[in-house]
Amino acid sequence: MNLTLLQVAGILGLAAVSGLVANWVHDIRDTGGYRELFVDESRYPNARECPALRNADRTRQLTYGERSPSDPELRNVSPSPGAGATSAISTPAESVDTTRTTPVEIAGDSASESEPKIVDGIEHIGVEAAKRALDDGVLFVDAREAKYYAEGHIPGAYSIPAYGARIEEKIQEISDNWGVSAPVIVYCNESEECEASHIVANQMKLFGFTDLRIYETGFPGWVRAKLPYVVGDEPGTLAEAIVPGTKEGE
Amino acid sequence: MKRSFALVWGPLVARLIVGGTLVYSSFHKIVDPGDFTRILLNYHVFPATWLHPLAVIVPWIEAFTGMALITGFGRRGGALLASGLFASFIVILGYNLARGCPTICGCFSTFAENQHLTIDEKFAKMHREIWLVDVPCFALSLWILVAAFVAPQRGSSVSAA
Repeated sequence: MNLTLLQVAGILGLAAVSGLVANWVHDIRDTGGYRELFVDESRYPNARECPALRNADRTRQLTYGERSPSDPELRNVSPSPGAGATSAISTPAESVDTTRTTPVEIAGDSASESEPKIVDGIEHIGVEAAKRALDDGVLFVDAREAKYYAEGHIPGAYSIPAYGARIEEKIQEISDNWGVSAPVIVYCNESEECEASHIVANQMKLFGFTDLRIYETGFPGWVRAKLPYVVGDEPGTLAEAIVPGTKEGE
Repeated sequence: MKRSFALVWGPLVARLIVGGTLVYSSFHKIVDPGDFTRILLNYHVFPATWLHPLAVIVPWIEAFTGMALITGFGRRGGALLASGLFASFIVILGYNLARGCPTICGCFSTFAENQHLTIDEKFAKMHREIWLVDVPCFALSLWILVAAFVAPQRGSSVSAA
């Protein structure tokens, strides 16, 4: 029996050492797989609470049935030509305005203006309000994984994967460049009750951001609405994040 | 002949099956700890502060447990750990089934690959994971463990198990 326990301890020890070394390698190679070993409870709010159970409205659970943007059906959705949409919008560096600190008021959807939906103190907006905010130059934060961001994202959106490494540093960068009073809209996929958006938005709230919204139908809703989106890794940095409202001709 | 199967050849095959399953399932978790963090979070049973340490270490526990079973070095400890791992998976998925929380197991695929599933598809997959993978592997792990204790540690044929 002692030998068995010794074997268990040996396997656990080897696993712990290997895991820590692998984590260190992820860190120095900056693969995005690095995990901070000590995170605050606030990093993953409601970690032990099932979102499907938290939401009493059963119809909301139908969002689980929505498909991811990598789904072939969604990827075949082409933006409407009338909107001037293209799946590969360039991001000219000269149109960047990283000094903007003036908050822009975000109007809610006309259908829900009278009764804004607020979850955990953060207002949720629909696709129409999100589109208007984009036109107004509001910063969008994409909370999905980097590979989904590369497959398609809202023009000018800055990528902060909710389950990625060092999201605090990226939020600090936004705070330094835009100020905590700048309006920010966070989105992800609408599946999983948009939990990734909540994680990032909650972190931003802790940083002192006061004008936060969650665009709740996320990128799939954006594609369904036939709005323009960008394919690729751009903007890779916050400095390159375009402000659509300042683009040429607008 | 029957004793030889129950204590030697049966456990040997079981070790290869369970060990192979564990090594295979650990691979994508080791490669993408971010995705595994998301899987752990979607179980909604762990405190937030546990998620990152678990995401860093658990895949390696699976891998080393699997290798211990495949190679036979530390098979008793490996069988005990494998039993614990599969029992944990059964409890976690069973708990979420019982409370009606659709969960992505992430046992053999990434969270991202499964996030398009509907609620019903998730529940169906949870049932499949429990009854086709976790319960059989848990039973095989117990078999390996019992055989390792019952079979005397002598003789060439026994040492093969």
